Amino acid sequence: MNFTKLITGTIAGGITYFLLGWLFYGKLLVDFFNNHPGLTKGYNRPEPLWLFLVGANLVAGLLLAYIFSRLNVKSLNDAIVTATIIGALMIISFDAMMYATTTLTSGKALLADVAAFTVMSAVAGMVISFAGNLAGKKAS
Amino acid sequence: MTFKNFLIGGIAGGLVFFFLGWVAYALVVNKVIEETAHLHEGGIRNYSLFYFVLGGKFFTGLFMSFFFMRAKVNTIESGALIGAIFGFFMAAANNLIIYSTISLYSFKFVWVDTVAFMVISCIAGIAIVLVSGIYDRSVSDNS
Repeated sequence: MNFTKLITGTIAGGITYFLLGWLFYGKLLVDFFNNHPGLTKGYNRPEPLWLFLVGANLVAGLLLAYIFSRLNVKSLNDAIVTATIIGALMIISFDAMMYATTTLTSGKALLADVAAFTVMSAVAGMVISFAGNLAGKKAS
Repeated sequence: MTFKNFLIGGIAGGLVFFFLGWVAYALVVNKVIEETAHLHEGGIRNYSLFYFVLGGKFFTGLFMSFFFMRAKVNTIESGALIGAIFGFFMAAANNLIIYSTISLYSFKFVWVDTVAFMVISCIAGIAIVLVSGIYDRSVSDNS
């Protein structure tokens, strides 16, 4: 495993997830989620805990970078397809559990979240691949 | 390795996630949730939606099975190790996102759930290797 590529991919993926998360969940889909709440309201923190949020996005980036490294994903196409599949499977499993065990989300919000996170993962995959290739070229 | 292996691995992993999840969350993690009941009054369903739990676990199994097929993870040791790594990453990322944006769970829940899910994923990884038909005994014997 190439650790330089792994670290570069983790940081690039983490930053991408963070920025796209802010764009989707902080800007574009805010009204949609507010208009499609679950049965219980009032759980959203007024201000996110930034340190934990950054940590979560870095872990998501690390997971994707690790998968790319183990699968030897090199081309941009392969990166986008793999990241889309991984992202979709991950978010469906996570959201289904959230919906099954809590009253915080609605069915429509769940579908929007699945779509948003899948797109985010596809873009993050693209960025990780690009950053990894760049790091590989510099190392060689 | 075929689509059939992938699907069988996903189902096997999903069933392990489902049954071990039921054991872990009913016996261990649930106590942590009860300890911090003031944080989530009304936010947790009294009864989980069975089909969504089953579906969710099936997709978790598919996720791991997809990687195992493509990365040619075919020994018990590598299945357990990669299962544990994935379990840790997935649970940590999801729990930290929830913890940072919603006041539903305590921080104790975050790490207890992450450890529990990592252990379950480790066992699910072994099950996927053994049941899906990708297990290679010769590689295990040589290593």
